[in-house]
Amino acid sequence: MSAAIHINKLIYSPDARRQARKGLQDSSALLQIAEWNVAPGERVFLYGPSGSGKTSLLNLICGITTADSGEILVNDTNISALGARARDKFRMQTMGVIFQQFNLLPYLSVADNIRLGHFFSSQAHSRQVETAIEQLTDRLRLPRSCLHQKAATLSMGQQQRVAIARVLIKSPALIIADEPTSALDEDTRREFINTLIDCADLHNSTLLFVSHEHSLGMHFDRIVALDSINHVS
Amino acid sequence: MFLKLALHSLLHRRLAAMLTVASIMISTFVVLGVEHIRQETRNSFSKTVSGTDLIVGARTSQVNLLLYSIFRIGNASANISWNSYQEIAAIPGIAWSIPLSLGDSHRGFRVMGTTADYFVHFRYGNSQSLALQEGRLFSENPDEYLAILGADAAERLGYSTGHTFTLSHGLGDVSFTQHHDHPFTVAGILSPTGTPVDQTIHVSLASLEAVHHGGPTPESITALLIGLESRPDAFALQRDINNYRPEALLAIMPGVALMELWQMLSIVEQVLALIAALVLLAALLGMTTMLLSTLQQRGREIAVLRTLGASPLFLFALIQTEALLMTLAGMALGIATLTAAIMIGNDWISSEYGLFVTAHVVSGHTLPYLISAVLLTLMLACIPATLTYRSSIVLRLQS
Repeated sequence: MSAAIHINKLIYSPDARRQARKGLQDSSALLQIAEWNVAPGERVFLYGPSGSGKTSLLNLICGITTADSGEILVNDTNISALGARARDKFRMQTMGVIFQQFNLLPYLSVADNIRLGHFFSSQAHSRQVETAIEQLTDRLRLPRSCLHQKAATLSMGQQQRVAIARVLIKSPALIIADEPTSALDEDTRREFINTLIDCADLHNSTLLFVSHEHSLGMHFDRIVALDSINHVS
Repeated sequence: MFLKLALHSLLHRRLAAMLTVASIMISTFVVLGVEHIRQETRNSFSKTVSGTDLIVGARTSQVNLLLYSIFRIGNASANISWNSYQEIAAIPGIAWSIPLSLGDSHRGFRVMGTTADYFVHFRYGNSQSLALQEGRLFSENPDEYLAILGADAAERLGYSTGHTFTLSHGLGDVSFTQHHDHPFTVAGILSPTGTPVDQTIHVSLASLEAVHHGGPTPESITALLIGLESRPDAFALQRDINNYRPEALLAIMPGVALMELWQMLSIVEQVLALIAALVLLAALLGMTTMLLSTLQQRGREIAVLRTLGASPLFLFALIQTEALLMTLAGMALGIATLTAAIMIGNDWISSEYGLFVTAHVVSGHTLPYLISAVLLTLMLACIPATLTYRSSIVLRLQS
């Protein structure tokens, strides 16, 4: 495998399609990346100010949105060339995404929230999944008693760990974290990042961590300023 | 996991879901209730009389004569003189004739004076004869004040053979004129028929006349049932009776009168069915509105599922399943409530209207309504399901 993520001649304008439907030309590209790579197993910290296009880039890498031109290869698969369903399937098999607000389903139990991460992605035997859930909760220092609690009843710190567990249950090749620490205090933030990096190492996953806080970069192998790769005129 | 997701998602919005289920329950109750009672009424009416070729009474409408003579609903406007009865009964070609005399009651149950021929010739359902489950038939002796009770009347009055009671003049539950001087004794109890016979107290015409006028021969009767040797002769005899000079009489064929009754009721039935269908449609539209309004709140949830790998088809099926669960729950509750209501109200319906309504509300007649409701649910739920299918996950996760 040459690169976990390879971006080549990417141009993305969020309003391009809307403008095209109106017969107008859109010249306001948000992202214009000539080339950018992330190596397999690398832990990359991507930062930039609010509105600079960080989340848009993640959406493109995840295949949630598509670029106007250029290509994005994730584990040698050109995600830009895939259809919507194929992108969904690829994302489900290859990636795990942690959001800013963790986005647990409040009406499901903690165990079901974690199980959900696996439900769409694998054919593993249910007994293996149950064992994996228990191992993950132990590793993330979540008490087993909370597995049957509703996710909404957990503390913020516990919800973060459940969000990590939901991603790790399917051992994704690529973990993408979009500003997951913005709502946390300093101590919880450090603990969260350490746990995330440990788990990524354990699963040999590539980690792309996005934040607007430059100070968090010290925990990662490589720090990338979005402005340095995005050449929007 | 799929069902758990759908179920827990609904429970998370339990108030809105419960109100939707309640509205579907009520509409199911109305739709099935209307259709079930309509069908049961038809069944009950059509099996009440069988093998009777003509019914004769004083001139009135066909339907009125049928209702008071067979179904014990309403009253006769006039009587037939005994002489007329005897002349008609003697017409060649008449195999049997049964005089009926109505007008008295006992604790809300109608009393019918007739002859022993009634128990020999009267048929109901699929040409079934009346049978005794207990006791014996009465004789024509006017000094013997004997009564044969219908099964339901016996059960609800708590009477068995040997029990004595008195008749009341008129048909109300309470009467100021009691025939205390001539108590009747229960001689027998009929087997259940599922017809108004079960609600009737049968006494001999002679004893009834003795109670009213002191003599065995009646001056008049309310109606008479006729069985012919040859059924095709019914038309000619009907014409003759309708042109009977000494008295204004009406002869009807039960089947034809019943058809007229259904025709009269069909417009009412159609309006009721339309109202019931509109009630159901309104409930299902309410459910669609509820799903649509909650979609806005569920944007993040949907986006999370998409990001975790749920295909648009999965989300489409999830919304459809939620709609289906609410409809099925509403229908199940509606069926249970209707069944309970019929079981509780059956006695009242049978005593007030002479109708015997079974509690089996799910039948070949009501099943199409249930299937239609399910199909309509799936069709209407396509609107929120398609919006979910097409929903963008980009903005929702960031908000």
